[in-house]
Amino acid sequence: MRTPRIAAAASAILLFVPALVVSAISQRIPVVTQVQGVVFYRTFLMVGVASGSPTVTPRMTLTYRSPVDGSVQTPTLTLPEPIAGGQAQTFEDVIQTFKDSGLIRPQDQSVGLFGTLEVTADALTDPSQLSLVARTFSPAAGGGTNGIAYVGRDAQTAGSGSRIVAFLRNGTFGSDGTTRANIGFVNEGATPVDLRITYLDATTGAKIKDFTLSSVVSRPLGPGEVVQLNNVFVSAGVPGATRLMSVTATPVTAGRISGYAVQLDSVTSDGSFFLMTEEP
Amino acid sequence: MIRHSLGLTLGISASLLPSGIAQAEHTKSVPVVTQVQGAALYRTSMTISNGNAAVTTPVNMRFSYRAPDGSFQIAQLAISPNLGPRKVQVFDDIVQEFKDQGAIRAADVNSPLFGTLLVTFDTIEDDNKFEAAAVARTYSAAPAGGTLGIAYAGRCFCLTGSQGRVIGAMRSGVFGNDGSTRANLGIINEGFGTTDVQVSYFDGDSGNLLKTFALSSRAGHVLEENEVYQINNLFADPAVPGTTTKLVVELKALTNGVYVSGYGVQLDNTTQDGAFFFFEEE
Repeated sequence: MRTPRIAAAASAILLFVPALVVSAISQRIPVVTQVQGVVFYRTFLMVGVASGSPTVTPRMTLTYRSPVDGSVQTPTLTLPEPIAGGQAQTFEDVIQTFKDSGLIRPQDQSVGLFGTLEVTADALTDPSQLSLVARTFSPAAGGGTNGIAYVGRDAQTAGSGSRIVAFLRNGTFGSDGTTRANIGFVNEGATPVDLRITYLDATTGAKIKDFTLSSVVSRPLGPGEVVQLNNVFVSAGVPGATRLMSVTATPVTAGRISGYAVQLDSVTSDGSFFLMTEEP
Repeated sequence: MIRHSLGLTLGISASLLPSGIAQAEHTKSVPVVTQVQGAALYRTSMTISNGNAAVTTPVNMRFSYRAPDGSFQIAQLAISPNLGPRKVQVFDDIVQEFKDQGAIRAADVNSPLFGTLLVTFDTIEDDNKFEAAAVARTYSAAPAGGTLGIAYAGRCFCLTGSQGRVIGAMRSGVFGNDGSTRANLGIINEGFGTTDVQVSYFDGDSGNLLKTFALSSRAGHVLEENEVYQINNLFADPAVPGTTTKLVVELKALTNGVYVSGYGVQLDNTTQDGAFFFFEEE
């Protein structure tokens, strides 16, 4: 990543302060799942370590809210094998890996799960040494799969303490097909946080609605928790003719949040994932 | 932020800008836009938005591509009208928009094109980069109707790429329910100046180096500034044993001071649906 001048100077200073050198890297995947929606979605995960890096045995913490009793669960799984520099490990269905390891409590074993995944590798010193790639996929009608991919982000720096923004669309846009939109919000901080969410019509600039996330899900977001709002253009208060919408979210109390959007083709249900922009 | 592409294009050296003064424009780097026949006909839609509550901004786009005759071309197009506060423009085929507006030279109008797109918001500063967005979706028609696609948000040009290593992990073959997949690799010169790129493949199971090569040996040329080159199905490379299912890929500019970025696309071999991700940057 390009380094702003002041940050480069700070980095140079850090080179002479060994006690401040980071000795573990944590990255968070914004969403992993095993859930029946329009189709059955699962998440594949690939964990790679850059060549020349020390051998590491990462641990993964899944944060999800149990659909059974609403409690937040945070099981941690240490990878079964170490990963040397230049090597990678894969998990075909990372939620199933947790289930098969006995780390998901019995009452959640047979229900759909949806959460974030934080992967921590001790002894790494730079986020670029750890490569996490998730692919949430579903079987396609004619065989094969459809999916969306996204990488892990540095758990210490991802998100914004002030505002995140995305522009979404709904309906038909020429050859690009007919689309609907989902949005997801992640608490990247260490304390619970509520979000104030504003929808604006991006054709007129007029406000459509303004609400707190807790008014929809009846709680603030726990640390590391993700909540997804599906098909936001059909939510209450959004006029049926709305095609373009701006979504802004701010933390109601001090906290750090991130967000993502998924534009889905309404015929194939194939998704396209992108992160919301973040105010520094 | 340290440098800005359009300043260089206009012949204004970044070094002439007083340090500490924010640049009064912001540019998003979109790694690839296309209109090309591959396994399917791929096109790229662009959703370009101004999230500022008060400012109307001119938006200028620069499409950089390698023409079929081998020359490197840069086409420029301004969005009309200017983008008002909290407004969005959607182009369902951005390359066709350049063609329809006469921004592509006649020799290339009927050709498949593949390149990068820089989107500059003239009155939004880099410090407010979150207010501007340029989201691409490269899509193709699905056999039974609808589309399949990949999305990626343009990144601040001020932060994109690395002068060090750029790293990603890719895979090939069948991975249980996740289907049968192959991998494409994209490499972008994010500026400034031309550069060759060293590409290294490591076996993801053993960690062994399988191959290191200069991209020019494959592409036949070095990468111009803002040029993208894509290597399709990289596991089919003769140096990659047929049993290899995972690769760690590392990229590095061979010219000091030039920034490089990379992306991967994992495609399902049955549906041709892609899944896009950026590489990590040192």
